[in-house]
Amino acid sequence: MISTYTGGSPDDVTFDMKVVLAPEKITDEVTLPRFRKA
Amino acid sequence: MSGNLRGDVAVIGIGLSPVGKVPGRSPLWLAADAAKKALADAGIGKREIDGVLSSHAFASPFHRFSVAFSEYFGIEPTFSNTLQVSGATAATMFNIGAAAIHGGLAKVVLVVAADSLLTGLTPELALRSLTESRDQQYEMPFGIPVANTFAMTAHRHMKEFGTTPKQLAEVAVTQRRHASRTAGAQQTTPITVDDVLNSGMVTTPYHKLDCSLISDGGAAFVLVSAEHAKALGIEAPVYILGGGECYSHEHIFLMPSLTATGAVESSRRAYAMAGYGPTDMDVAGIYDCFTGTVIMMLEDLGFCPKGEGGRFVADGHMTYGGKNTLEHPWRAVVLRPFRNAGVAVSFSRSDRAIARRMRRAAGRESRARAGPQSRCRLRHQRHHDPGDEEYAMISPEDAARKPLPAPDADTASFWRGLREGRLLLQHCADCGHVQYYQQAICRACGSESLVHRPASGRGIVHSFSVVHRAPGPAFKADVPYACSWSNWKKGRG
Repeated sequence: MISTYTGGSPDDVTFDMKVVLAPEKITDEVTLPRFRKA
Repeated sequence: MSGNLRGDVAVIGIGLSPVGKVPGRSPLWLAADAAKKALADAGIGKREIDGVLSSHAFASPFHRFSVAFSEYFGIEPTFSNTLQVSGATAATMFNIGAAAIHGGLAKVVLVVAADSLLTGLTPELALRSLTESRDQQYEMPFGIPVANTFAMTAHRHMKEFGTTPKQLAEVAVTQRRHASRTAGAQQTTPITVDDVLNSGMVTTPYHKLDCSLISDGGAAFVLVSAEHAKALGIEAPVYILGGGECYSHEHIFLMPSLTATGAVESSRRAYAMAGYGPTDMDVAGIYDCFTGTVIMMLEDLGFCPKGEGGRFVADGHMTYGGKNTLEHPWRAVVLRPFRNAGVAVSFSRSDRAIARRMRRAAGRESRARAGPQSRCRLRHQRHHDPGDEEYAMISPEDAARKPLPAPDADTASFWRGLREGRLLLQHCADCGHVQYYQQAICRACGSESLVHRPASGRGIVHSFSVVHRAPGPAFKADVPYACSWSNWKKGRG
């Protein structure tokens, strides 16, 4: 899936980096599936 | 009628409107200008046209651009269609036009495409338009520009094969050199590798000069049967010997491989029909929306082995007098004559369907946020000089809002799961296939027996790109931000 990184600098992202789901509530109806470093 | 198009149809005329910045000219004008030139080149009149194929136009989002063009041009074709397969539209129109003639649906097919993305839309709306072509549920909410999806493929190519930013830049430098030899090209000033690398990052690894321009322009060509061309006394018709298409995915996250394109299969089919192969080619015109795409296409079209496209370009084989790796002398590998005018030349981003989607999405957002009164903002709005006939498809106010997913029957469970902190995948009860994204049927077996089960919530970054230029005003405050293509593990653990 495609998503965006949260919880750090975008420059932290690397190939094969282990990540975990980081749900981000946007509205009462919508929570986006973002990711952060594991 | 044979089962093969080889040599049955010929191009007898081509026309090109002014391209680049053409203010005050609508897509219909640009299309008509190109069509007039194509007919003059063919030596026939407009009354002889009985078939018209066109692409869509962002800036003139007619539901049936081919019909709108015909009306504007003063003809009444008995075969007409408006096509949209993005960057493949131009090549596909060759196939469809040839098939129509081959099958007796038309005798003289005018293929025409035009748009005015540069002056017909504001830069913000043009960018937003391209972004709106992504999936409303699974891509748009993340602010993923079109360039970003292509960038992730190039980035993965760099990871797997050692392709470098300098090699990517060499593509832009070569194409600019080719453009400088072409009258009317949008950009002709020579550039260097350093110019590309210093042109400002758009989305890693792509700099500004790695990306296609946004352009105004129109192009047209005339197709007839080989017999018809002969009867018309055309001295040097260009026969269509082979064509092929392949569509492997719509969403980038379902791309079978980030470093291989559908050109592997489409070229195999085209070569087979023509009876020729890559070593027989003297000239190639390759889709050049981004520099990395060219490198992958050179590989997938068979001009060099997989993974060697970067070196192939850097060693000078992609230009006049170059050689391919099989020691065949190139006369030229001419990419688009209008370097970085991919949109203008291929008109691949012209899309009525996108326009509809934009309005639909904007409508949902506005109604959700501001109530029914906001619908008035969805009218097409004039935003250029008085007299300009171009219209934006959404208002600047709507363009400034981040797009949000609008859960439907297919996706409601997915979004409900996220509200509960779970990433749900669909599991087919009949064949065991596991799929993302959510839909009503199993993509493997067609079963409707699908159950949602939480993924582990753990994944691996397969590729990524850091966005430095936002896809419109809604995401400007967020840059730079990293988008990734990640593999997520099934089940718990």
